[in-house]
Amino acid sequence: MGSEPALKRLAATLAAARDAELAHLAVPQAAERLILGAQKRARRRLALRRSALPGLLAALALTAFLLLRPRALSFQVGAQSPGHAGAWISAQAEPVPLVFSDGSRLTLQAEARGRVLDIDRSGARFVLERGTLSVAVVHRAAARWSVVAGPFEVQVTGTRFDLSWSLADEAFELTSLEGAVIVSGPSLGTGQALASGQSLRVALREGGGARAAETSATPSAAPSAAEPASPAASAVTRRGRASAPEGSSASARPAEAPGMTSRELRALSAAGRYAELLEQAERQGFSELCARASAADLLLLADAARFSGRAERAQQALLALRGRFARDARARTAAFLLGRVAFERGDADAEAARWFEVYLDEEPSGSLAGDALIRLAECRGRSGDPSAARDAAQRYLSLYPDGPHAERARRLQR
Amino acid sequence: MNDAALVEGVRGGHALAIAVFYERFRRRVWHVLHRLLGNDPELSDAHHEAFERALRSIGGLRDTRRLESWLIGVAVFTARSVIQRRVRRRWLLFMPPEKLPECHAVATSGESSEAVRATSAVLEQLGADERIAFVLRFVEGMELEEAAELCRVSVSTFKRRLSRAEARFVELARDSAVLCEWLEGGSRWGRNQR
Repeated sequence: MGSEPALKRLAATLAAARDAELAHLAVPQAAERLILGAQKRARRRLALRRSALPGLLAALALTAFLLLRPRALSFQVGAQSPGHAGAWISAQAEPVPLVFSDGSRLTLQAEARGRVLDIDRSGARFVLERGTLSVAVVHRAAARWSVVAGPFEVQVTGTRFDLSWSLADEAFELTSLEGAVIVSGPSLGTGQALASGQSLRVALREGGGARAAETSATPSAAPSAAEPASPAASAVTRRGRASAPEGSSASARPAEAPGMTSRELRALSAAGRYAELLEQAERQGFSELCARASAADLLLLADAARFSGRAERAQQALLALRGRFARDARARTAAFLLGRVAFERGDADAEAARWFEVYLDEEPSGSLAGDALIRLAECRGRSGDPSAARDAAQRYLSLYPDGPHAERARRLQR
Repeated sequence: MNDAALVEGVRGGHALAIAVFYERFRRRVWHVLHRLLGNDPELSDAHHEAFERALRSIGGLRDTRRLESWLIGVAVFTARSVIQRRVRRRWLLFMPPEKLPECHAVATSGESSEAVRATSAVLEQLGADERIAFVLRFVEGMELEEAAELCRVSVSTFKRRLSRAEARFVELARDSAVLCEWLEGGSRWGRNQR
């Protein structure tokens, strides 16, 4: 005891006891057992490595695939905000750039509004509601980009162009700055290709004629020898859709009726010579033409009839399109146009409403859905069904709270 | 054979290198395990297990000059596993501590013999980490840094373990008349320190 710390004394006692105990214990001699164990483990490891090699290679291949596979693109709005598909983006006084992860860039110019509808690893689908959009898409194999503006759609594979859409004037304008694009929509048939330096303007309110102009002549702007350009769109070549289903197979076999070939029909449409087109169609038999024409030609025929004020012929062509090409995407557009033809007649609101509802059922998030909803609301209101009008207006506002018809929809809600 | 060559040989699985490695360190490992576990029935198995573990993990030894301290660290961890297994078994079998197999200590005198037996019994009731900290520091007399390194923890962590071990040891020792006598006069664990 004394002054020695208790710890040291007790620990020393324990250590001494353990040492004394240790002296009586034999240290194991098991080197052989250890060596045998080590050798056994080494053999097992080798066998495991051999048997696991295929699995390991497969796992490595899978890992490489997962790491290297192309991922869906992403985009940023402005300098830093991450973009989300479906969200509306409005530019005020300043342009708003949308920068995509593959380096592509869409710029909403001042006062323009639009949204990215879908985005995947190949590209994106953008809807321009109004204003001007500057597009610069980076060329990549299998890139798939498109821009929808009203009833027009632009297919892009790596190019630069400016696109404008005015809802008030229903005017579409595109200027190709680099590379080529394919534009489809009213009076453009299955699609028209625009090369670098070319521009295209379609004003539906002014009769819908497509006017193409070559702003700067370049070798790439020359039309394909295999596909002569239409008279009015001398610098514009026509697209051939190899993989489109029903409609394009019909398009590949154009109606060769006596009097007017498919090529002539398209040329007259592109030139805006609708009266002449209809005259020729009547001469060879409108019904016969509707029974034989391709989906694209039927749409052109309907456009020509609408712009010439021949509502019944427009309906006939559109109904033929829906009847013969029910699975074609253009059949859905035909439903909207049938509603619009009836709507413009002014005495067929119930019929118009029915066709708008058909379109909305078949294409609830289509590029014409907003137009279909607001017209549906107006039809219902005009036909004395305020409750249904309010419902349709409410649907419009819930989908497009800041849409171009929002004010009209609010009025219809009251 | 120097340590670097020895490690190289052991890593390669060469029988001669393993035999030399075992022969060079078997006494030291045995000593450490005995200090930590006492004359435990599992001592021989723990000794073999420590070397097995060492052979499996020697690939991870970075500095071959620290071979011995690394191996002692492996032995400490092996002892820790043995203590934990023993605690789990005790819990599973619902054996009260006083009924545990007694650790037979060889004492130098009657008084010491009692104290050693009581100390062993108290140590048996400490948790694995606390018990190891207590033995390495107080019984084996290691420096804090050395003991912390063997336990693969920082010095501050080791100090906390040691502090917990001390407190628990004193608490348990107060139930032993023999240890109370030993501790009463001491300056470290005396009643006046509570």
